Amino acid sequence: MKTNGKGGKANGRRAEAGLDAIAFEIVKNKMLAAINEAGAVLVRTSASEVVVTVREFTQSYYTSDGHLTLTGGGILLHVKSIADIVRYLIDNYEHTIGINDGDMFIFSDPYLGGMHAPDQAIVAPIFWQGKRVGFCASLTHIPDTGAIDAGGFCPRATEVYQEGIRLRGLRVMRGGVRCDDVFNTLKAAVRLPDIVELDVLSKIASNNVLIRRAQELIEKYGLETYLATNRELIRYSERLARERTRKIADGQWRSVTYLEHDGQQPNLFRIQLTATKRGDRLILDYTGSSPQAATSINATYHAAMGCAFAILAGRLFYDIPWNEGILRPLELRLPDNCIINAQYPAAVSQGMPAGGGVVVFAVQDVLSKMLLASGDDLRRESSGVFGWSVHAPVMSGSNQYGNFFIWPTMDECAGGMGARVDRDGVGTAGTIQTPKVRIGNIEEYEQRYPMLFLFRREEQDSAGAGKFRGGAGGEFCFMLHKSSTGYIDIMLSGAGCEPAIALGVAGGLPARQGRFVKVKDSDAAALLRQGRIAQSLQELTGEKEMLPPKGYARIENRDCFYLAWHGGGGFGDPLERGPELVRQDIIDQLVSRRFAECVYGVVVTGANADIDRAATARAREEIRRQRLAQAA
Amino acid sequence: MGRRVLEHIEIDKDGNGHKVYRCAKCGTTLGPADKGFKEYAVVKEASYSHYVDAGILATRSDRFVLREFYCPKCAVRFDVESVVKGEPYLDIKIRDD
Ligand SMILES: [Zn+2]
Repeated sequence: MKTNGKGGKANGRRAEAGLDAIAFEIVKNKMLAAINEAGAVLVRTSASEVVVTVREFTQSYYTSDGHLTLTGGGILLHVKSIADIVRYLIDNYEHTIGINDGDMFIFSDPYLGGMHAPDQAIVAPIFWQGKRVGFCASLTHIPDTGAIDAGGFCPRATEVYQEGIRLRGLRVMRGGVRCDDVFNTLKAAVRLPDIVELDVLSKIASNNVLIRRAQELIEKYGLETYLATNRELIRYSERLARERTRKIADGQWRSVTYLEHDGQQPNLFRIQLTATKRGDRLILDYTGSSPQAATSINATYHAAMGCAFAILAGRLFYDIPWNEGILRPLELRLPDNCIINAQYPAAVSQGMPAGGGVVVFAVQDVLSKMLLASGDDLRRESSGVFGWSVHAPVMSGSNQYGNFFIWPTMDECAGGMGARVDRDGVGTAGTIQTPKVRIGNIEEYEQRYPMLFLFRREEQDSAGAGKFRGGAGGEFCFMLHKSSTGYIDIMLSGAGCEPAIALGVAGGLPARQGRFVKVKDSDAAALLRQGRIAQSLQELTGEKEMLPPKGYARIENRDCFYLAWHGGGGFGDPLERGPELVRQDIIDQLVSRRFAECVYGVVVTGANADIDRAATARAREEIRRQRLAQAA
Repeated sequence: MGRRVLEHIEIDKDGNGHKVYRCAKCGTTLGPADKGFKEYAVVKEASYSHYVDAGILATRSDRFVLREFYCPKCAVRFDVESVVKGEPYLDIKIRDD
């Protein structure tokens, strides 16, 4: 059993002695501004689509002994584990190779931190007048790791050695000078050397901003104020997090979620979460979850912890400075050799979209129910599960210019939000665990990759129904277009294609499952020549093959590829939804008339979708009658 | 008003001071609170395939079920589980002392 050893008695109830409250606020907010500025620098200097377009990155500050003091958005999943990386750096290199001013160290080992090998962090010490006063780090998801599969998600991997280069603190900058030996080695190990090199440089630039702004703060407010603010930040967040945790109802909740495929077979894996809340402590216990898999769907301890941090930060402690103080009320209990606490050298490259990914759903599920049982101010924070789809198809091949490309598709990050207790979830809204993430423009995709998109939009009936419905998920379909080799390969890394995991709450329905579909020998191009663009899968002829959530597919000329990703779960009984709201959803094409009738018991007529009040009353009564007929 | 467990489930005391579950929508007493409330609900369990025609789910599966829990009096839906067939009920224990 591995636990994080936290959840003990509250400590640090008193603010840092001598720290002025106003100075604390100023330094805290300037640190946050620096984090945002460093993010902007990263976007301006990277060439990786995952960074520039999708904004999947993170920056953060740490104390000199490696405790997370502040992060701000980005990929929340990683920031806690980078603290473990910083401590590894101190423990292993401080008295050997040394940690000096102007040095930076590169890490990408999922067993040290991060979720999988594509998560690459660069850690830098912050020095002031010859003394180390803290650390900062920037992390991005790089587009390739030199793994057995392009992009570094590897359905066929059985050991971590097959999942690409893992870096354990190579010194990439020495005294402010780039180490060409490290750059050249790294570039030789990956498929997109120039983009990966630029990604490394952009993280160095981002760290330089973090360092410079910290030094400016020290210059202006003094070293003691800077250090005291950093120490106090963790205590401050811990105090607030414990206060809020105390307000949650005491009790125990259980959630079970599933992985339906291991990359090779449709083997089923179960992730059981028992959440116990007592006073100011929260225990997330995964006892009863499946043992680790023989394939790459495992998650490491860091992934499980990162998912817990991300959901607690985004859903419960959204207004408290994000640092490890918010984790102190939490105790994470993970059995050894469990699918979300895999033991080295298990393959883990799909750990984030797989084992770790569904943890995100489970934690939200128990949290929503806990909040619902709490006082009214917390009850209103309850919601259906956000439909961050765990689909990450990574496409690669030769583009229209004859160049090799890798496209880690991230449109699935635009999941539908869960329904709230008093309003619908926002459609194709984004994710909790990566609050800054966006999706790209279709035109950019078509410019870079050999594809023509037939459509991308919110998918009708994709939201979980309820008194308030979840936000809609999305769907897109493209046809292959001008690949210089006539095909591309797709590495499928999804989950939630069979189990519906974007759950509703309090009688709300889950959002429907995601799908990958290949249309073999479609007529999309022929339709285009007639001036028509197919607007649904049904309009396309060709052999439609439902692809597995994990595995491989090849898309050739004349083929199309379709992806549908999750909406959010619903809140409350759909029969309590106002018919006018259902009518508006029909007008907005978010809900079909059939769905409205079967699920909401709302009947509309005519082109204006006028509500037939009498038929609606009858339909709802009939649904109630059928429900109770179960008892017979 | 009793102690809320879910939107339409609460724990309250009956006339004899015993803790019971009530439907918060219609006020019906469901049963003693020493068991999970789901034991007193009308349960409809059907494989995913059953939900595809209406559009609720997109993909058929016979190993997964939706399990719906209703008030036996007013038929409001208390909760929905999305689980593998045979999974025990996902219980909720609220400490209400
Ligand atoms: Zn009732």
